Amino acid sequence: MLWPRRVWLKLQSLFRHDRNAQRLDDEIQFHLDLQIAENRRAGMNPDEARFAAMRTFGNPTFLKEETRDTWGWTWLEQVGQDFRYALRSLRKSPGFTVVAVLTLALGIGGNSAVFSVLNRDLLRPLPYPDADRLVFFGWLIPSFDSRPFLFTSSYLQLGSGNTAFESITSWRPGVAGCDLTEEHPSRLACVRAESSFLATFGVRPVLGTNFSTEEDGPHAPQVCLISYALWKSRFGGSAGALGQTLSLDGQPTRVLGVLPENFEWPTLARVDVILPEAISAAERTNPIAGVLRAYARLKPGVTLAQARAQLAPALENWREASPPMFRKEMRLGLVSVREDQVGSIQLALLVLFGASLAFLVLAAANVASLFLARGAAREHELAVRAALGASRSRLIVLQLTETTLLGLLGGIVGAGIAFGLLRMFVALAPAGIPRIEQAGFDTSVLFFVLGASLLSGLICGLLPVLTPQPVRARLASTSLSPRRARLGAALVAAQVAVAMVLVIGAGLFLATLRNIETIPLGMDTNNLVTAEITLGRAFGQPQSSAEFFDRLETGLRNLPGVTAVAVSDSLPPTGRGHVHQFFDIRVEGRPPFPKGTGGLVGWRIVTPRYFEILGIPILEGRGFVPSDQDEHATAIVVSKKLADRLISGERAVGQHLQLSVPSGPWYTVVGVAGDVAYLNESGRAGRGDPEYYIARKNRSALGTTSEEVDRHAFFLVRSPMKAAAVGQLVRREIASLDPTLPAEISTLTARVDLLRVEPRFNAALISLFAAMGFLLAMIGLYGVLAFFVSSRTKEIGVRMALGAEPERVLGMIVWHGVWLMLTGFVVGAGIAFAVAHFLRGLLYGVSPLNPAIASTAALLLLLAGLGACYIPARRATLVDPMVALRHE
Amino acid sequence: MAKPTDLVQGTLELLILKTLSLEPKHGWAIAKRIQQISGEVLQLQQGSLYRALHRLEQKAWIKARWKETEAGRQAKFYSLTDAGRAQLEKEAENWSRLSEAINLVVETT
Repeated sequence: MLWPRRVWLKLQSLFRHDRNAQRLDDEIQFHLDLQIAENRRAGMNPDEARFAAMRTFGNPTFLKEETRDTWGWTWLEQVGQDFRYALRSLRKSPGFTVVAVLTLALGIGGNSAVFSVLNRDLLRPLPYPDADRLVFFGWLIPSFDSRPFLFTSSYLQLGSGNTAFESITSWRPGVAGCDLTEEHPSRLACVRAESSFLATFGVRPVLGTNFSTEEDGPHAPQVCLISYALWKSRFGGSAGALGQTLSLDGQPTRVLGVLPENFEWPTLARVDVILPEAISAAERTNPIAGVLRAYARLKPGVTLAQARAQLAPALENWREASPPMFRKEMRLGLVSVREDQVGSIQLALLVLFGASLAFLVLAAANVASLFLARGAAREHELAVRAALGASRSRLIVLQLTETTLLGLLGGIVGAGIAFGLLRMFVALAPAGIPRIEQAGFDTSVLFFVLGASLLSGLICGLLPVLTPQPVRARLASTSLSPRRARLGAALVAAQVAVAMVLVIGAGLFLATLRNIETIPLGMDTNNLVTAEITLGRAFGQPQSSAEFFDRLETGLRNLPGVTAVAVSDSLPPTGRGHVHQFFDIRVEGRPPFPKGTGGLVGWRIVTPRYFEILGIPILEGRGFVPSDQDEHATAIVVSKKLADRLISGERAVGQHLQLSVPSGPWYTVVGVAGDVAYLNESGRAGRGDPEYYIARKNRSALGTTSEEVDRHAFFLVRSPMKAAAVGQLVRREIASLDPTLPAEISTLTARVDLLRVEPRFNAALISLFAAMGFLLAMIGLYGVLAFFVSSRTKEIGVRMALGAEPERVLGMIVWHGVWLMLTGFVVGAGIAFAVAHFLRGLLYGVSPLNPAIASTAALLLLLAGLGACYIPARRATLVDPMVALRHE
Repeated sequence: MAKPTDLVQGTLELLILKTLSLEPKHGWAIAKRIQQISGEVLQLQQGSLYRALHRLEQKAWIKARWKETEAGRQAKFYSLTDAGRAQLEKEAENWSRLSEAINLVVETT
């Protein structure tokens, strides 16, 4: 084994460098002495003997250097030298250094922040073994549900015959709030999943067991699995938790097992409790009763395409069996769990990452152009070095050392910027971006910062060098080479283009935000406290829960400062309440609507003061009166939209409606209410279904939903007092009636505001990037123009000496700058349009091609650009002609 | 100053290894020995010897020790290591193959 010894020798020569050099001197001196002695013995005189010895030996200094080269550490010495030199030269021009470091820091920082978000979301491993084999599948019927689903009966048919799947599992869509009704009431997130769920995802409980197929049956006593966090908080992490009973919505539920700490629900929703799915007999047989989300684990080696092909025949069978209104748009949805998780944000994040990467390159190119601007003085020095025998590669290395140093400094500052940005992302991020709170600095992010620093150092070092010119020839010249001029011009154009894209983008997103914030809601959300309450099953009879809500309503109305109270089963602008098919409604004296037409109709169950408290105008007739709150009342209030659709051309009030053809009871329209906006979860106005209202306690209309309506209610409390104080009073009032009842108390304004988080995040993010791009473009423009001016100093001097007006010179330089920017405007506007078109799904109420925004952006950039031109131009006019002419 | 070509360099290393195979020597003695044995045909520039010596030392084919000479001066004596001896055999064999081949070519044409 030679290499350990060789490494040892190498290290020795590194750490004993000075001693070894001394010994080499001794060794050579010894040699020369022996040779001289021999020459003397041959009869030469002392001087002759020494010269002859030197001749046969050769140039000792050169030979020593060559010998030292064999020790292999010369490059390190050179790096050290270059490094010290680079430090000195950066310290000598602090202004340049600060601008360059800040420019790079902006690029690196922005990039690293985006990378750390990407890193957590798109690149992280999922916490399931062989997660790439897990898929989410079902029918996709966009008008019915935005995500794939299966009817229970078709899911059950799927079970045996499929050869692509190793196992399949399902859960009931929706993470429902369920109430832990104990001495410390709290609201938990509960899901209902099949017994095969954990096995399919390859997860084992850390404590206890999963529930069995029998326990998953419809009549089994209720059992559950609890999350690690709930185990810690409710049971203090004790093994005694197993077999204990939790009271969930008033129903005793035995704890069977504890989920692992890193367990994640595949939709990334928070889940505290997993209950058995308990498919009922009716769901098994009725083809369209019960909806499930289905997941499967593919057999090893089976691709997504194969799995889709496997499911295709089944889909055709289902299509035959499914209700006619779904048949046409039904298709198969099958994606990997990862894609399902990140799919929606993947595009946005990748676009963001692409933008920020382009950004980094521009920042580096900018610093390169600053280097060019500083060129004149440096070139002289480089030429001298070249003339003294430095090789071209040596000069490049020297320059690279300097730019790498800049890159690393930029990286350090950039890491700070990234950290700040990340904190801001997390603070602003909408709940829809999964796990963003976990985005943070880890080793891979640090490596990314380092990589970005080195990359940017490399770019700014190599760009100026890539203009190969014999340095020697330019010893006496500072004139502008056309090649460099073109490079500079291209740089400015590119930056102006990027800044244009970003500023236009910011304009579009800000317009979107403004449009979203000014959507007319059709109601007054101010000064309203909301309380959402779900009664446990322990309340039993509908009578007793109705009584409870009545008592609560009276109690709330009597609170100090409360002016009005209303109760509803859903709240605009998000909750759609209940929906059914439009064609199920019939107007007396008119033919029924053709089946399958008209879309959906929403309905809500409200108390008489609902319209007044929300400020929804009654356009015709009247609202509800207390006598409508009766089991046999027939009053109905329709929204304007519904009135127009049902009874066009006639007065709506007084018409008779049958809500479920052919057998339902008949209602009489007593009033028409103003339309209320419907907003989706990202704050945009949805299509907005027509609606009608039924008075609370008019149980005849409830049908199958009665149990839910009996047990669940929103209380709306209007008071001019501070919302927090009113909220406290409301909470105390609820507790005085039932201390174990959890209630979610908020304000209507806050509920609406929640929908605007995402557009705000988008607008803030892109505005930030726009501001940074703006800054970058200005630095770039300034750098390039300063370079042009300094290289034209002589020409300007001549012009001035010949009597040119300073204004003319000023104009010439500024015009040149504007000319450089023009290309950028055009290209930038084009790219901005393409990008905005691509992202138009994120915009609202503003067209991607918006001339007002584009021209404002151009104007803004132009003004700032003029400023950036003005400084070098002004400096040019102040040049003393005599100095300029001597400027060689 | 022209750098020695690879052939010459490699050859010099072979000569050094061969010279050291009998007994440890210092640099000057190695140079003298090569000149003597080659019948003064190989006139090497003595200085370039040291570059070769240091490279061989870095490769761990020879090792060096500072010792007193008979005249009582400190000198650096080089000697072969085991790896060096193996290397010498390999290179000597290479060399004889090469020179035979060259002879063959030169004599037949």
